[in-house]
Amino acid sequence: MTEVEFLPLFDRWNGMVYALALSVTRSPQDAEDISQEVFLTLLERPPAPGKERAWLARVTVNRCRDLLRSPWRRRREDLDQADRELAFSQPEEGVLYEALGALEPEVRALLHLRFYEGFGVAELARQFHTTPPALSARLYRAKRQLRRRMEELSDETALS
Amino acid sequence: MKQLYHKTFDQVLVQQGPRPEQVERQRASLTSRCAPSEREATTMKQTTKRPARTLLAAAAAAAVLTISALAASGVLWRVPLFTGGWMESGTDPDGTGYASISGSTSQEKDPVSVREGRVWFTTDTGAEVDITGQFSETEPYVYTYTDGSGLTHDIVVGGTPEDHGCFEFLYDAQGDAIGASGSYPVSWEGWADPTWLTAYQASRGLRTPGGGAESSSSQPVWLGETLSVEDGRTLLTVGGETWDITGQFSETQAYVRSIPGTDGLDHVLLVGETPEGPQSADVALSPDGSWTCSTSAPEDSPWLTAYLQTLDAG
Repeated sequence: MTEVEFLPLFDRWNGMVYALALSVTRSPQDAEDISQEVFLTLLERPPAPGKERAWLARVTVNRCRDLLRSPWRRRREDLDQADRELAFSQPEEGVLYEALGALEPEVRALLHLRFYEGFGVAELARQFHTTPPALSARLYRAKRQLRRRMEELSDETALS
Repeated sequence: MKQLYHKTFDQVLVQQGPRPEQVERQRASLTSRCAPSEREATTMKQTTKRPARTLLAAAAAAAVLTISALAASGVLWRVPLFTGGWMESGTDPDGTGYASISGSTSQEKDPVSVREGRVWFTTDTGAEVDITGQFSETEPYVYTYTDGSGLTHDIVVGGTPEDHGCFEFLYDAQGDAIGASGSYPVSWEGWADPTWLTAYQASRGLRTPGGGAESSSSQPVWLGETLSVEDGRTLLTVGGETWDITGQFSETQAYVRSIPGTDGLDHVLLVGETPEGPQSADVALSPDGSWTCSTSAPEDSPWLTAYLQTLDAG
């Protein structure tokens, strides 16, 4: 892939790739590393024209999955804890962010692609190798899981 | 919920998004790896721009450890690398030692500079050493120092002043090698390690990538396979193709699939372990009979060692 072909894709999708990786890994360092790997893969094995968005999302989720499975990465998590103090303008935003942390990484990926990147159910079904009805069911369960966790966290805050 | 998610994540990105200079560095690093346009190809000239770092042992994704893993005291330590990034090591609860190297291209550091016809090496103390004429494409310059943790760092430079590579090799207090990381010269095409690098490895008795014998000159390009478990099915995906391999592997018996690599080598993909936690390994086979294995699974996994033994048995 030449520079002329690559740069527009990078400029357009770098934000999405990084944000998706950050939402799944919850680590800016990992998100940066994954972003680099994803675009290197793009250079080596570019998708068909017009398919870049879905392809980049799928490859990013796969790289996140590989990283989170790596036994080495478990060690890095402890070292990254200090970097994770975030401030939010509203309490419910902090509750949401913390509740997302309790979900499985794949569920976080699904919610992020749906809520933040606006992927449709059919697109997501292809991403996650399932059927649209099954994907809809997964989304429903994911949202319910998230809401429940947010309620638990809100109750804990009220009691403390 | 969607609106709340948007507002929340926007704030996360403000605080944890990449800085503009980081994005620019990444952009430049990736651009340097682009193929030349037709017009550029006819007027190609040597550039001193460095390619992205190559990690010989990486914490992210499947990686190749060409050197024995450190089994230390169990205490986790983290060492900044002279050439950028960091390395950490320790012992898992089951006693298995591990080592990992990680970093991003934004942390890459080149200690070699060329000024007024002289080549300078900046040491760990910041001093500059004139190393003009002390390295070539066949012989490396090696700078050695010991850090505060008692680890020895060999900084290995080779190539030409205008197009050089720089690798960092780490050794523990007993002198055992624990990892390496670095960058190849711009002109390096990835098909063979430069002679200066293999010369250094040979001088240190380090095993170059391969199955126990001296390696061939092939540098594998890993397949980048992914495994997923969906509704009780195990799916293996490589290069856009997906296979359902449910029930075709175990902790002692690997699923095996041969796939031609883009590097001209034959690759064998292995999958083993439990259905809930499958692991994969990519074995690149060289024409001379040697092999290199890339995996995030423990090296003594029965399903993996059983297959590798068949290779060594010829």
